[in-house]
Amino acid sequence: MKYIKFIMVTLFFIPTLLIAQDAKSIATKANNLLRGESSFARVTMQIIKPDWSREFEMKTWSLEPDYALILITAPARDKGTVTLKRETEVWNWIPKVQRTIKIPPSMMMQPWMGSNFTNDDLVRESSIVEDYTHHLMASDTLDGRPCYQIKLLPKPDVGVVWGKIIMWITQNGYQELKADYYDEDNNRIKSMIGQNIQSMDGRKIPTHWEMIPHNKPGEKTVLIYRELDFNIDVEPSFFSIRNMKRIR
Amino acid sequence: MKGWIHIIIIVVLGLPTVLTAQLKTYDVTGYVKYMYSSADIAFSPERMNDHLLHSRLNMRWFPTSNLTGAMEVRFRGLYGQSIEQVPDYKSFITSDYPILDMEATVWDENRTLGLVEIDRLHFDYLYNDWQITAGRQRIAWGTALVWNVIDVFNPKSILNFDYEENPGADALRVQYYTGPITKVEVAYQPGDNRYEHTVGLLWNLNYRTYDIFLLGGWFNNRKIGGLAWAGDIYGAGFRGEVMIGDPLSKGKKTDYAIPPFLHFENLTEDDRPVVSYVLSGDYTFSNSFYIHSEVLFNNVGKRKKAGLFQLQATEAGLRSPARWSLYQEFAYDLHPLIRGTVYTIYNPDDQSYILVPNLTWSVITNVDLLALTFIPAGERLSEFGSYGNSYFLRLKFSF
Repeated sequence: MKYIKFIMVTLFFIPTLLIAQDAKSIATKANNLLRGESSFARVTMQIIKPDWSREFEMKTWSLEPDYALILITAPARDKGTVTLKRETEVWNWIPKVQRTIKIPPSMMMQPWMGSNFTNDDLVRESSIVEDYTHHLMASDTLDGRPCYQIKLLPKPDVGVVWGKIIMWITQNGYQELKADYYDEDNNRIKSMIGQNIQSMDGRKIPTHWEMIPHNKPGEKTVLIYRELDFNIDVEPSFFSIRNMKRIR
Repeated sequence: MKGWIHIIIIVVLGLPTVLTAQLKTYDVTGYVKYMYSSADIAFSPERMNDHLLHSRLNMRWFPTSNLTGAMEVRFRGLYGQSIEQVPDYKSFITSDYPILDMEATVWDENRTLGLVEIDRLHFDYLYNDWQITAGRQRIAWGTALVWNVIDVFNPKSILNFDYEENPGADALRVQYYTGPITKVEVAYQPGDNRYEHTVGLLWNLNYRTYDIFLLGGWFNNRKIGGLAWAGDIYGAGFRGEVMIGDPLSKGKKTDYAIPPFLHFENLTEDDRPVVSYVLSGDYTFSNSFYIHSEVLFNNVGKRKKAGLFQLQATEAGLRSPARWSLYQEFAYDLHPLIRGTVYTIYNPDDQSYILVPNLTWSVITNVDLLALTFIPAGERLSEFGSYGNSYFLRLKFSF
């Protein structure tokens, strides 16, 4: 009799496990395509609101998953400000007062420079691969490209803010074209849309990204990659307070 | 032969990329600010209306990848009643550097004054894990956001809000990085006499997501030791600094002694070892609402008539003449471009306080407007009792 139970479990759960594995591997491939082990990028960020807009330029260095360095190069008001992330710790370098300030976690969920990105989005404290379980949904077509649609649910003990994320990932290139972020009450809060697929350091990826909040019409935050190099030669020791002060 | 061709092709095709990727060997930034102020001051029935044009140039030169030269100059042109009516007004608005004077008065007339000052001028050299900085520089020690009791070189004052860069120190500083986020450093500021020499040794550790600083040194002819930390508790920032030192009586005698017939003990006559500490906590809610509290304690601080000892405290390197200082701040983004902040500093012994509401508005890219008010209250000679109601309006253009 106990064999029946075993067979039932096997029949019903193994396929689910297999699909879940598959969805995770798709999410992992999409994540890896965009990120690599390490990267350098020159990025323009545009904050667009119905009645005003602002633009920032920055350089970022990262070593997955724990290390990041972000230097603001424009506008003049903020030029030279550096953010360093090492594992769960974050510091800012404020050049005018020559001071390093440790950023407490509560400040990490703030909108960064008035954008629709939080500090956490920029230095990615939560990982779409590690902090969520992945479920393959129906296939869909976006911008004429066949896509996998994947549902991400947060793991119970992980302190992530989203209740659910739905992602569209192209079937032949693993490019993430869209992600819908839902809160815990299943309301769609914001969408991230990737466009203008170009070759960057030999990879075909979206270079124009828009973050669109759904409760605020006319608003969006645009990220444009000007330069992107993957698997650059950096060690964890590069992400240091010493380099934070000298990086240009 | 083929090998050579490859190299030539790589050099010819590769070189332009290398050249365009190269960084400029210099960098110039700065700003121009205009500020209007209207202030009540003690001993004058009239309000002081003043105009200040304040510009700054920050220059960097990078002759090699390891060497940086820095010079920062500020120019202030003032026009108004304060210059006319406040005796020796210039001394209130200039910084005091013990060994090198890099300030010049461009003009000084009845109602107008022009000042130019170099407040950073140093070379910075990096060699592997070593960093050596020589010249006028800022050595910002400490973790708290309002009062840094372990900043022995160039302490800042939150009420001097228009000098965002804060003064520097003429010093030699050697930093040795023992790890990505840890270091040991020593800094020395020479002076004309034993009271003006400052030496500090700072050891920076990281333990379980806490930055920890241990300090030892010699300041104002007194031995000092200190400890500071920065970390978090349940997401809230938690920082603190403790400083202990020889009695103030070992330091320089005050230039601002209280006349003996008033029967007050000058701070610099105090024979007790000095203990100062500051504790700081802040929390940011997801709607941008920000709360920040800080408390400063000085065991030698005055419980009464602290206002009389303000200059003595600054001279002796104390952050406040008072025994206790409580700081409370609330801030909120009224709009993504407009931040409203209100903070107060309260002295629980004499019950005087200063309330400082202010608004910052990013008008367009690189143009910021600040409106700020000082609302003080307290009895005469209390810590904040001699401050006047003041209003400031400032427009800043960064380039």
